[in-house]
Amino acid sequence: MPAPPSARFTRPVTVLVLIALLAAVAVLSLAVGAKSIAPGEVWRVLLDNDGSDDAVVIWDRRVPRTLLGIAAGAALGLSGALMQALSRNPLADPGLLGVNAGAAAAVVTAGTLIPAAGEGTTILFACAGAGLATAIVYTIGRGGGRRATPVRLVLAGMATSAVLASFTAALTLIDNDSADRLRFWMVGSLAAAKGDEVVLVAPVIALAAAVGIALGARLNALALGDEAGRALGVDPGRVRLVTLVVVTVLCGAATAAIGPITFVGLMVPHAVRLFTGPDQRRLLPLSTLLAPIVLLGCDVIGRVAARPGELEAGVVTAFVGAPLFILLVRRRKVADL
Amino acid sequence: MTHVLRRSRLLIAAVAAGALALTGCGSSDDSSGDSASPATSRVVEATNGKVTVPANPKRVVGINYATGALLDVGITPVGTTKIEEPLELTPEQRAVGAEIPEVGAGDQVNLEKVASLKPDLIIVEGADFDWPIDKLTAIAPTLYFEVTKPSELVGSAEKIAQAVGKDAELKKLKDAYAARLAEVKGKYPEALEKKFTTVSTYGEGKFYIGTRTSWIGQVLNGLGAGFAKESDKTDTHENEYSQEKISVLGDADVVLIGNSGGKFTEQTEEMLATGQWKLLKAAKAEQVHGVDFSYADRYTTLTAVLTQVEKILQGLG
Repeated sequence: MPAPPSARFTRPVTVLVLIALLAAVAVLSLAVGAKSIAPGEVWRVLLDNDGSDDAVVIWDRRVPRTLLGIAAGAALGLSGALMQALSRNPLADPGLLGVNAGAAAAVVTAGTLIPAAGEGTTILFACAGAGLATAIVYTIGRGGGRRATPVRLVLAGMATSAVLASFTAALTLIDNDSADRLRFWMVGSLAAAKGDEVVLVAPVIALAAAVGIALGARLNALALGDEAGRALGVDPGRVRLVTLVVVTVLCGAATAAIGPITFVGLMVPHAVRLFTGPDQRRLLPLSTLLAPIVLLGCDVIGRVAARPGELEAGVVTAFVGAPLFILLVRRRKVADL
Repeated sequence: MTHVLRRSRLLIAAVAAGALALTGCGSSDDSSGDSASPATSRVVEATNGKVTVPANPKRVVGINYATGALLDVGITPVGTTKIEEPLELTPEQRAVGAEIPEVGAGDQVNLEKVASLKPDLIIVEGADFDWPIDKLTAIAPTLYFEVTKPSELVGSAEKIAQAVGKDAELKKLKDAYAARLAEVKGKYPEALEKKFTTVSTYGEGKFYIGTRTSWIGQVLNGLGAGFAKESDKTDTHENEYSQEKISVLGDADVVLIGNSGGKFTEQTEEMLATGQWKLLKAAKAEQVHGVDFSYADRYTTLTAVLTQVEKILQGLG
C-alpha cells in the first residue's frame, strides 16, 4: 500500500516552498506593470521615495496592489477551504452561503439610494451586505430551533442568493449608473487598490485567518460526523457557527475590496488537497498560502497581457484557472472530503 | 444598455464632407410650385429599408438618441425613452424634454405606452439592441437608424431631420457650427498651437485617451489645434491605458475631460487626485478642464462644446 499523500510531503518544506513562491510573485508584482520600470529603478525608488513618476507608480499603485492581492488571495483560499469543510461539499466556493450575493446587492442598493455616498464607501457597503446575507442564511438554516446542518445551510444559502441576485438585477435594470458600478465591481480587479483600503482590510483578514486556521483539528473531528465529533469533545453547532463567521469575514472583506473572485476559493483547496489529503490542519494553512500566489500571479499576467491597458485579475483567474482546474480533475481522482 | 456608445466618445470624420450631399435629398416629392397637390407622404431610406412616412408628421415618438435629433430641429416628440446619458439635452431643451411622456428606458420600449400615444411616426436611433422594429411598425411607420459607431451619430441625426422634413432647420445648425468654428480658429491662433488631449476614466485603474476622431478631439481637430502625442491619432476614437501610464500625457499643455451632470465623475476625481496626475505639466499649470455635453451626438451639443473650448482658449491668452 502506498504511503498516504500527506506523509510524502512533509509540512515544513511545503510551507517554505510556498512562502518562497509567494515572495517571488510579490517581487514580480512590484517590478512588472503596464509602465515599464527597470528593476534597478524599482529597487532605487523602493529605498528612496523621491516623488518621481516611477516612485509614485511603485508606492501608490504597486505596493498597495501587491499587499491587497496577498491579503485578499489568502482570504479567498482559506474561506474556500473552510466552506468546503463546513458544507462537506467539494463544489462549495466561499460565496455559497450568500456572501457575494449579499455584497453585490448592498453595493447596488447603496449606489441607487445614496448616490452621493461615493466610490470609497463601496467597500463598507459590501462588507455590511455580506454580513447581513450570512446572518439571514444562518437564521433560515436553523429555523424552528433545529440544528444548522450543512445541507440546510447550503439550501438556505442558495435560496437567499437567488432572492438577492434577482433584487440586484431589478435595481440594475432601473438604474443605469448602478449597473455600471456593479459591472466593474463584478469582474474582480486589484487595479484600483488603494493604500487606505489595504490598511482597512488586511488586519481584519489576518485576525479572521488566524481563527480560521486554528479550526483545523475541530473540523477534522466533525468530518467523521456530528456524533463522532461530539464523542471527541467538539460541539458541532458552535464550530459551524464560528466557521461561518470566519468565512463571512474573510470572503466579505476580500470581496468588498476586489470584487467576487471566488473561483480562487474553489480551485485552490482542490489543488492543495491533492498533496495534503483531507487533513484540515494542513489543508487550511496551505490553501491560505497558495491562493495569493495564484491571484497575484494572475494579476501580474493581466498587467502585461493587454498593454497599454490591463486585464482584470478576475478575468485572468478564470482563463488561467479553469484549464488548470480541468486538468486537476482529469489527472487523478479528486481527493474526497 | 446605452453604455456601448457612452464609452465611445463620439464622432464624425466623414460626416462633415458627406453631409452636404445628403441634405438635399429627403423628400420624394417637392416638384416645382404645383401647390394643388402637396405631398402627403415621402419615402425614407433607413436601416430597416424604404419606409413611407407622413410628409408632415404631427405625433412623433423618439427612441434612444432620436429624441435629441428631433428636438434640435424643432420637433417635440409626443413620447420618448428616458432621457439620460449619453443623450444630453441643452439647457433650452431640458424643460421641453422633461414634459415628454416616457415610453421606456435604455433599450426597453413599452409598446403599449407607445401605442397609447397614437403616433404617426416612430424614430429609433441607436446601436443594435434588438429593437422591436416590427412591433413598432405595427403601431405606426417606423424609421430605424442604426449607429454602429459613435462617429455615425451626427450623420444619423441629419437623416432624421430630413425624414421629418426639417432640412432647413438642420442646415441652419450646421452652418452655425461651421461659422463658429472658423471664427474661433481665426481668433486664437497662438493658443491653438498648444498641445491638447482629451481623456476619460471609468475607474478600475484604467483610463482612455481620446484621439483626433474622439468627440472633443474632433472639435479641436476642426479648429486646427495642436495635439499631444498620444492623442495625435486617427485610427480609432480612443485608446485604453493603465493608470500606471498617466505620464504618457506628459507633453500635453491642456487636458479636456467630459463632465457628467456638470461636474467630473467620482472616478475622474479619483484619478485627478493621484500622485501621478499631479505630476503632469497640465495639472501643475491648472489646465485640466471639464467639458459639458461631451456625449454630444448632434450639432447643438457640438456647438456647445465649441463654446466651452473657446473659453479655455481665452484663458490660454
